[in-house]
Amino acid sequence: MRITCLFVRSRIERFVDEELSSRASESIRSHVARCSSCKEEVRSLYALRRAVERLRVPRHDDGFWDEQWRAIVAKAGAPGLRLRRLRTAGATARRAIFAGSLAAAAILVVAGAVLITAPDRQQAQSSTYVPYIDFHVSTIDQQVLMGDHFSNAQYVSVSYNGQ
Amino acid sequence: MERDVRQGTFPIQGPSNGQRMVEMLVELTDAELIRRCQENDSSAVNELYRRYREKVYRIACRIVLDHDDALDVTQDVFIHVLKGIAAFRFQSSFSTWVTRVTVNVSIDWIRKRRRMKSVAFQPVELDGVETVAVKNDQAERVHDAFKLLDPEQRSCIILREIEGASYQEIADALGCSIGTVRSRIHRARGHLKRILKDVMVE
Ligand SMILES: [Zn+2]
Repeated sequence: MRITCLFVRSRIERFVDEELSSRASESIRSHVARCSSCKEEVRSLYALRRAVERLRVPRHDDGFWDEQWRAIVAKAGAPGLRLRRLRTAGATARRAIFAGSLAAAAILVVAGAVLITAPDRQQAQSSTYVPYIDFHVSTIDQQVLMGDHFSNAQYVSVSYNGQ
Repeated sequence: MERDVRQGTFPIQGPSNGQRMVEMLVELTDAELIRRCQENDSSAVNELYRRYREKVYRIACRIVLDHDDALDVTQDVFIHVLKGIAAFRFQSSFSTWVTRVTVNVSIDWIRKRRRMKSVAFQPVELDGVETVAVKNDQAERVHDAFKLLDPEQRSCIILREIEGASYQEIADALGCSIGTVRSRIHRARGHLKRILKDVMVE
């Protein structure tokens, strides 16, 4: 094999993968145009790409994916996102308020509010809610999965209970 | 840290819910959708799922090489997405992150499967795989050839050849260097070329 060919072969995968600078790519292209053996190498790399594309993937309709979504939500710990907040002095009182709101009765919430002291209520309204999902099925090391993308920082959300 | 835990209702609605809202969500970028997710907007989670479910499934199918297992992997991936989205810090695109999770869950799945079968993975002697070549169905041939690659090689070659990812994107997805990506792709191609010679000629 000629020296030029050896040089080209060392870059030929990066050439078909479009990982070379436009200048380097151009010099490979002009060699490949003139050299039948390097041209054959390029051709076989493209042929391999087409072969890999033959790996079958079934197609599914929207109904199927909706069904999957329901399963995902169920596995993630239905009904999905939950709320978590720090335990503080007023926690017990706030639990009462929250239970009331879960019962979806505004009257109950008002009644609950009446049951507790005014300072407690104020504290409850300004408390910080952190959404999270209860999660049981993972066997994967979270650090590996999440990499640098995540911190343990708590993210504040003021909306809860679907509001 | 001890936390006071209670359950709110975060209704995860079917994608068909609220046609107008869905139409509007379609126009948002991934990043905008994630911000909405972080504000507990459940329809935004649905839209991300709608955008990425097929990509996740496609990659999973080709790494685990079993369509049913790939559905389980897809479910696990989106469970991780649901869990992680609140803490997503935009240090990469959502696409990169979801690809990374998909590859990791898929590879983990293969390892788990192997442990279940209690058969250690043994790289097949490539000179002895001519049996693969007797099958007529070309898709099946490619499938069998892929089984001979290790999961990391499989992941790299699939992201490159089918998903069109750059070396950098693959490196990000697998958490390895570009050099490692290049050598895995190179080795995978070498193996596949030998096994699939006749599939490749036409
Ligand atoms: Zn040449």
